[in-house]
Amino acid sequence: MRIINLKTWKTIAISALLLAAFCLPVAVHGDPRTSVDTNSSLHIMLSLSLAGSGLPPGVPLQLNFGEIITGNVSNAITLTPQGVRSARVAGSLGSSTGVIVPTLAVAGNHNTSINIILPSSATISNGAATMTVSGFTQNLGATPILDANGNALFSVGATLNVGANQPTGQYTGTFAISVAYQ
Amino acid sequence: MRQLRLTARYLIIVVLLALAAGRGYANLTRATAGTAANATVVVPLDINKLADLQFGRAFFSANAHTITVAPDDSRTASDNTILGEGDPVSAATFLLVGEPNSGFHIYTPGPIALRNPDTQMTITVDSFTFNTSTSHSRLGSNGRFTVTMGATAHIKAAQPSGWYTASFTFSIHYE
Repeated sequence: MRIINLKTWKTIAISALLLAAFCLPVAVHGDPRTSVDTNSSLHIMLSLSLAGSGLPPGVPLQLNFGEIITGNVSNAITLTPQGVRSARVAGSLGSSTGVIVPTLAVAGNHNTSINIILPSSATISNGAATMTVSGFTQNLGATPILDANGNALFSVGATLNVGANQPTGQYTGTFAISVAYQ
Repeated sequence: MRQLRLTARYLIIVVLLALAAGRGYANLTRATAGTAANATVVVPLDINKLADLQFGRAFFSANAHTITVAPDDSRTASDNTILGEGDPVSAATFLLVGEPNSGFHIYTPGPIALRNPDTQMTITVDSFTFNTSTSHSRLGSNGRFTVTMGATAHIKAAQPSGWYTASFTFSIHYE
């Protein structure tokens, strides 16, 4: 039997330890998964409601230009959302009795932007005679926002286009106002 | 004695060779099955998130409803009248990049609780669906594959309005 001296054993032992150490990165693997963080979202909002304000139940909203005096030139009568009436032709405004603008109440999600959707034009008629109403405006600006309680109140104005020698009479028509979340 | 010393030197040489091989392997491979003897070099599997899982907008309802986003980004509800527009809708979308033609496995997430930070109310999201099988799908010959994942959100009756959000982990691995 051969005798192996102490130095040789140390060499073998150190070699074995080194071998084990260098094998370590090969033998050990981490979690094989590759992962990524992802977000998910859902936005629940109250449905918007729109109703007339300041009118008894059953009374329709009105945009009433009042009495206009016709002439042999065309005219434009403007009614602001604040209810202020003006005319392009001097002296063409008759009685202001009945002049009114519609005021509407919106309810929905608090502190949320909405769009107020007004028609580009509407037609009012008296038998075969017609006039157009255009230039609809409202008083909440371009980016209306519901308040902290989810409410907003706005009024609507417009411009009545009166033709030269427009037939006299009572002209009526309807148009739609709607609101939507932005 | 002389023979043993030679053996010891030989072992040291073996150790040095193992060192070189071991370092090479450690630098070139990650997170893949392999052996030191064969030292297969594999491109690490990577995920690029392209879109979150977004259910968009729904209107308050006194009744319970579900909203489902499909892997193709389409959205349906148990009552479609509760669906609103104006907030983004998308299936979660991930671009996987790795070894061409390699198989991969998708870990289906567990249920997620979307939470409103104001009210602490939650909406559970589950029933995840994918545009591919969760097992035995393969990367393309260019080493790429786009995974899209849809799910269903369960809205409770009279669920308070607000934003409900959560983060979750999407995981895959080579097969």
